[in-house]
Order: sequence, then structure tokens, then C-alpha cells
Amino acid sequence: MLKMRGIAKSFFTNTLKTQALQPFDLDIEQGDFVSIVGPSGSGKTTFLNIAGLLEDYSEGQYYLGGKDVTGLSDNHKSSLRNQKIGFVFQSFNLIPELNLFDNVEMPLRYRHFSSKERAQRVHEALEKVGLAGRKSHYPQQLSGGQQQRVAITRALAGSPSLLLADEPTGNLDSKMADGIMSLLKDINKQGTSILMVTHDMEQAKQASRIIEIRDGHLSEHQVSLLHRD
Amino acid sequence: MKDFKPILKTLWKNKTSPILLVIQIAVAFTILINVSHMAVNKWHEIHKPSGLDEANLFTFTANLPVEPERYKARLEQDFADIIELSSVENVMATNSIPLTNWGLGLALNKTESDESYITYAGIYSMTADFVETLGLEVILGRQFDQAEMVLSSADYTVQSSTLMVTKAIAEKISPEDWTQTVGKTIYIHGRPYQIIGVVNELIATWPNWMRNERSIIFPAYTLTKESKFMVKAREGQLKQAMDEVHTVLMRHPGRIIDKFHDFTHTRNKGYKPMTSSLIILFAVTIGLVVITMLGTFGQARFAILRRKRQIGTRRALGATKWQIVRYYMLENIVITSIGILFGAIFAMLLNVKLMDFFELLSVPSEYFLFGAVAVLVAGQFAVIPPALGAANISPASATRSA
Repeated sequence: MLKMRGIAKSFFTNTLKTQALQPFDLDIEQGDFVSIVGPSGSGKTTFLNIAGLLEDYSEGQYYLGGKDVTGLSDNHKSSLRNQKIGFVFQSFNLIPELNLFDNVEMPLRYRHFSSKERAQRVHEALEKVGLAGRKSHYPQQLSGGQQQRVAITRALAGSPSLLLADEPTGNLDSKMADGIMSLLKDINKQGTSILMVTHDMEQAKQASRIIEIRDGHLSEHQVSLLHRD
Repeated sequence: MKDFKPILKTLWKNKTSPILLVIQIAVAFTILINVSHMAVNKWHEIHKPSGLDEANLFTFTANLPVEPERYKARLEQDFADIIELSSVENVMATNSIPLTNWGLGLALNKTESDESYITYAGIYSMTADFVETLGLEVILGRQFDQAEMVLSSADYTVQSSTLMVTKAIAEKISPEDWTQTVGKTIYIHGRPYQIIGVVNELIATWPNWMRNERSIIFPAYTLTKESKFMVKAREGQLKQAMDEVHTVLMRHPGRIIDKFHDFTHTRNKGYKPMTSSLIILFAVTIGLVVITMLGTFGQARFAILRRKRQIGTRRALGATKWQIVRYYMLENIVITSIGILFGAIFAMLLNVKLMDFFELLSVPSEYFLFGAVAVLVAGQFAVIPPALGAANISPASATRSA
């Protein structure tokens, strides 16, 4: 579902060229759960932003769901993000002025769903994470783990085929982090591909594939069967 | 309009900044409506027709350098000398010159009793040929005849028994049908005067009197040492006529001529204070719109800076740039509309007070409509630059964890 060929990212500061990502090829199939690991500043988030069409790449071809997204207009990229990609951020990025229902509904408002359909999707999504009863609550009334569950719900409400998670447990304690990992694995089992950036090797090993980025170079590691469900 | 509900909820949760902007817009709208109403009224006052053939008229004061018993002969000779000039069409003398702020006003009554007050009127006492000289239009009745037009040293109000009035006065005397005014008798200081004719317009001497279309003309003229002349030049010969009249009058020893101006100068000088206040009113109006726009710009910019991460998140979740711009434009429409609503209520209340203080008319509804459109458009212009800035926020960097 995701195919990258010769993708590279470089940028210039004054006359100095910095190679953020060296050219790489990558294929991710529907249902893959891929962990991205590497030290800080190695290019993990840059890679995730490129995969999520948030950032342009300097070279190469990128196919998402079989469609070449190279050179697409900003509007087209927004539409693809909205329909095919879900985002989960380390600091949740929920809108504090909106309650849970409105937060989850937000990406659906950018699509041509009727208000009835939106309400149904939001309700079902919140039901799945056990927060339907708290749909009128505001993010600040929830724990970090609950907020991240809402963020994941928001990412999934539009039924994306790819979920991008940037350090989804980075702001949570280990118990909450386990809960989130468990939720992500459930989501993955239902067929959603996941690309997850993490610092935690234990969490990384719970994925089906591990990609390490070091100094802009991508390399794939085999995950021991022992660490898989 | 999908954003409408979230915008209302967001504004409700963070009230302080929008409320301040609503207050600013409401106050600006209140002042804008009333100030623009005052400005337009003033503009109409300044451009009120005088009824005079202004382009060909000039005026001056000149003494009669003879003994009082020879005033009449001297004035008639001055008229004869002036009218003889080829550049002059007509000449007359008057107790006061329109729009010069110097003259007499009297109360008109229906009966001898002051209780039967009709209106206050600007008083003119003019010599023969005043209709032709000033270019007045007699629309009803007749002009004064030779027997009525007296030149003497006696008080003109005592010497006269007839009057001509302007249409505006006729409408006050016979509000049901002003055309019935001719032949009626009115009283000034208990003395009766019969109305024999109506002129369409003749502006009184005070430019800032809101009812200065109300004038009456006495046929008798009181001779004094100094006379106010009004001369009508032939078409296109104003400058030449002014030079020639000056020369011909100055042949007499002891002659003093003063305030020698064409009527355009008289009008401009008369309306100068009103023109100045009109400019101030326009400046205030423009200033208010600019301040409101700056307030909107500032509020939008502040809101965007505060919500940078939120905007990045919206973009990441699929909002297009236009959807971000639309969100802030719609938010501005909501805030501005609430401001206009409160402003309209305050404007009406203020107008009631201003009507008492300045004898203003009530603000017509179109002022509210045009004012609302102007404030909405100004708000949209002010919010577009920060909204475009918001749309260009990089979702990649805005959503990155701190």
C-alpha cells in the first residue's frame, strides 16, 4: 500500500547542504505494523512526515495506495491525508476548546459526510475505545492515556488505511503506554497498517517490522518471532 | 458552514479575547452610525440650495456719502450708475446678505398673540428688482408692486403691510396645503402682514441654522448710512462687472466700499466651519474603521499564534489551506455580527439622546444596513492576512512535540 523508491530529503542552510534522509526504497503492505527506531535527530520524524504527506521530499517516487503522490497539489495532499492517513502525535494535539465528540468529528468535517453519518462514526469510534460515555468531556478532564485514546479514535474515525504514530506513548507512564500499544495492535489486527516512531525498543519489538534510521540511513531489522504475538 | 458549530463552541470556551473585540466593534459601530449620519446631514446642509443665481452674483457694503435726507436720492443714483454698466444685469440693496451670519430673525404668529407661534424666520428687507437680481423663482401669488416698495428712513417692519415668503414658510403656515398660503395674514410682534407671494427658495443669513430655508421678504427698505448691495453680472462677465462697479462707485468722494466678494466666496466663507467639522467627522469615521480593522487584525493574529499547533493539527488531519482561511473568516463574521448587533442597539439608544441634544433626525435603517456591510467587509479584509498566514503554517513543524 506504500511504496517508496529512491526517496531522499536534503535541505540547504545558507550554502551548506544537509542530507536528512539518504536515498532509500521501502515497501509497506496492507496490515504491516512497522516500528521506526533511531537516535534523536536521525530523521525518524522527517521520514514519518514524508510518509504522511506533511513534508516534501527532494528526490524519488512515492506511491500511496498505488497512486504516485509526487508533485501533487497541496489540496490533493490534504484530501489524501484526510481519507487514507491517520495521525497520532506524542502530545495528543487535541483541541482543548472542543469536547471529545467534536475533537473526533473534526477530520470528518473535511469530508462529505452528512452530520448523521459523522455522528454515527464518532459514536462507534468512541465506543470502541470505551469513551462513548465521556463524549461531552473536554480533553483536560481526561488522563494522558485517555487523551491518547481519543487522539487514536480521531485518527481512525475516517477509516484510514495507514496510521502514522509519532512517539504515541512518549508522554505516558508504562501502564498507560501498554494500554495504548495494546490498542494499536488491535487496530493493526483489523487491517490498518501502522508506522510508529518510538524510542522504546520493547515497544518496537511488538511490531511486525523494525526500521532503524541512523544518520539518515534506513535499514530494516528482523523481528524475532519470540517477540511477536 | 460545517465550521459554524465548532467556532461557536471554541469562542464560548475562550470568551475574553472575542468579547473584547465584540465590545470594540459594538462601540465603533455605534459611533460610526451616528457620526456618519451627522456627516451626511451636514453635507446636505452645506449643499442646500440657496435659491440664488450664485454664479453671477457679487456683494459688498458701501456707504452713502451724503446727508441723511439725501440717502434715497444717492442710493437711487448709485443703482442707476451701476445698472448702466454693460456687464451688469441688475442691482439691489438688502438689510442682510444670505449666508453671511448677520441678519434678523423674527417669530411668525397666526394671531396677534405670541401663543399662536408658527415658526421662526430669517428676515429680508429688499429694494425693487430683488427677484430678478437674486434669480428667485416666484411660484405662487405675485411680486410686490411699485406702491408697496418703499424706500424711507422709517422701520421697514412698520412701513410694510405685505410679505413674500419662501415655500418652506408656506408649508409651516398651511401644513395641509401650502398653496393656500397666499392671501393669508400672519402676525409679527402683533402687527398683521398679508402674504402676497411665495418664492421657491431663499436661504436665510445663517448657514448653520438647520431651518435656514425659512425666510420672509418685506417690501419696504430702511435707508441707513451704509447699504448692502447685491449685483447680478451678465453671464460670464462677473469679474468685469465687479471691477466696473467698484470703479463707478469710487468716483464719489468719501465713498467707502467693504466686503467686496463674489457669492462663491460668501458661500465658502459661510460654510467654512461646517466644512471643517464635516472633514473632522469623515476623519473620525475613517479612523474608526481603521481602528476596528486593526483590532480585528490583532485579535486574529493573536488567536492564530496561540492556536498554531491546533492549526497544524487540522492541516495534518486533512484541512486544506482554504478551509483554514475559511475558518478564520467565518469566525470573524460571527464576532463582527455579534458586535454589530450590540452596536445597532447602542446606536439607536445614542441616536435618541443625540436627537434631543442636536435636533437630529432618527438614523434611517439604511445606515444600519450599509454600516453593517462596511464593518463586515472591513473585518474580512483585516482577517485575511493573518488567516492566510495561518493557512501557510507548516503542519510538520507545528505538530512536532516541543
